[in-house]
Amino acid sequence: MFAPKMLISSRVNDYIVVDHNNIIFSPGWGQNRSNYRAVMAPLWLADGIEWSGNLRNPVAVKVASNGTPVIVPLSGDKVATHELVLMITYCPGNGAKRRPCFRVPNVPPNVQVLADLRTSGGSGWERWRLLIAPLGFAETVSSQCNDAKDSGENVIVF
Amino acid sequence: MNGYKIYKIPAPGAEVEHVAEIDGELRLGEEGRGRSVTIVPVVGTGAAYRAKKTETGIVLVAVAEVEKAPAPCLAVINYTGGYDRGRRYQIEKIDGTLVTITSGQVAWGEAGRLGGGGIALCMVEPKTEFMLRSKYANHWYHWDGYQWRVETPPQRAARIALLEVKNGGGEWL
Repeated sequence: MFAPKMLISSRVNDYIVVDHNNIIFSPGWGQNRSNYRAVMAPLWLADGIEWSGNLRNPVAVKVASNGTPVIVPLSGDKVATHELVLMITYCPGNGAKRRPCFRVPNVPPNVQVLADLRTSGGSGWERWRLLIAPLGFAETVSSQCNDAKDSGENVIVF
Repeated sequence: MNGYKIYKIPAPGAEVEHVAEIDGELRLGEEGRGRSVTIVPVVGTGAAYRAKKTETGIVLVAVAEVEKAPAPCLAVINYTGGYDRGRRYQIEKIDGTLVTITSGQVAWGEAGRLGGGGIALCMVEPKTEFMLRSKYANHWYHWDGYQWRVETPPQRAARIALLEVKNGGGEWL
């Protein structure tokens, strides 16, 4: 069982945003090109249900033979043993260069990358990774970041 | 004789448009340097079409009755893209039956190092899938005999993965 988290620099949300039954790659910086609104992971919901919102309940994950993770939402009373983290790293583009970048070049060995999409070209860039990590991973990373202007890059190295 | 519906893919990645009626002729391609144009005359009246081969070229015959679905369809497919050294644009990764009836060539400029490609009139059998590339993006098109589906490669991978998992496949983490 995995607890959904969204990690964006110093911010951690206790949910992952779902758009029409999918976790979508929807970056703001850089050029999306062929990855525009690409599906990072679909949700397995009952047939006929189309849902958008914040996924807060624990989830299970099943990986298909083509490597795509499928998210299975569970009831809220399940206890999570790990985190499902949507980690959004970025470097701002034109007009926001004073805001610090948030880079995590690699992940520790006990963290599994399920999906990894990034922008290609344009001004600034974003990289979205869907991870399975030990509980507390997102908070540990975010606690090392400072988002104040002109504070330098946030580079987290493992 | 019943005819087939005719659709248009205006560019790689674009949604498929149903062509209700063709006025007089169908022009595929352009005239000029590095280009070729093919003109397909249309005879008869009606919202469905069949292609007929004559001694001098292809003619589209319009008929009133549409073939009952699932049925093949006719498609005017534009497979042009931006300049990329050494790349030739074409209809790729065809899975099923797609017959190119006739085609023309287009180019975006007068000199080299500009985009181009072709426009083809094709007959597409049900359950046929193919890929169109532009300079940066790829899109899958699927005709199921009733309607078209357009997907990016990640969308297609997600749909196939979800189908596999719903059928009991996949591996739990």
